[in-house]
Amino acid sequence: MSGTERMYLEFLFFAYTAVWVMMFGFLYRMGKRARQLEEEILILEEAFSSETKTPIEPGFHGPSV
Amino acid sequence: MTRRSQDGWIWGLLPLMGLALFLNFVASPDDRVLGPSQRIFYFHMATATAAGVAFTVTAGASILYLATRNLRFDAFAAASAEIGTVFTSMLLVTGILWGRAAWGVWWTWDPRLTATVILWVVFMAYLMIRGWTESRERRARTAAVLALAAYVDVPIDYMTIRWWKSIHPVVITTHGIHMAPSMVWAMFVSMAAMLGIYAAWMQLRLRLIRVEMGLDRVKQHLKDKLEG
Repeated sequence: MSGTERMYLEFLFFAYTAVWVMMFGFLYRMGKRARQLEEEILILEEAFSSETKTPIEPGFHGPSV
Repeated sequence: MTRRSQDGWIWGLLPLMGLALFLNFVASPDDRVLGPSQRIFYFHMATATAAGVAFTVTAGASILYLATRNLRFDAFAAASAEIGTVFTSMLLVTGILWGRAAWGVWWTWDPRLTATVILWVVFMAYLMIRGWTESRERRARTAAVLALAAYVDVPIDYMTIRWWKSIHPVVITTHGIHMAPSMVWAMFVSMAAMLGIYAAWMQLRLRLIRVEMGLDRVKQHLKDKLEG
């Protein structure tokens, strides 16, 4: 392998490493966003389920004086 | 373990892939016949391994779904099949490029290449069929059966170069690995890095599937509330 070929391969290594670091950053960001969404959906579901659990008695019209 | 700390291991991928790239481009020697184009092989082999693992996970999860009818296994199978198909696409692209450099043609109907393209088409069909029906249970059952039928091609694909006359090289044999030790290192580290990417994508995809399922439940709840 000539010196020029070796230099080209080193350039390829640095170029692909830079591309990989950017791809990794995007992957990490996507993971973080998906985790937030998962947490938000859980909060939403809990809010709905607690709403359903409110006891509703037939014939109960609320407090009266 | 908190959800945030579940993501900590992903940082390990950064140096692992950096090492794989270093071994591929700098530390490993040129091939005597193929020259620098040999370096395509490391990622080609790594994507093949990741695709094989992904489809095996799909088959395993499909069996578990059929045995238990638990939709979590269906989600696992779907996520892994999607990622396996992406890796198979990468496998075909890197293979086509390597083939042009090594054999002088972009494509040939060699048993290995044919089996791989069949695998890709069958799993693409699997992913399309998943989108056809609204019923979650029916979709899961059909998809599980289809995944098991499709998985038959995975061991066939692996064995094609051993059973039939093929121009595709056989690197790993019962007599050892037919490569220089520095090339072997580059191959295994690339495999580890690609499997790490598979795991990271799985975590992300499964999380999105859980979000989709949660949204469906909320939508259903709202619908029930509005109707009655």
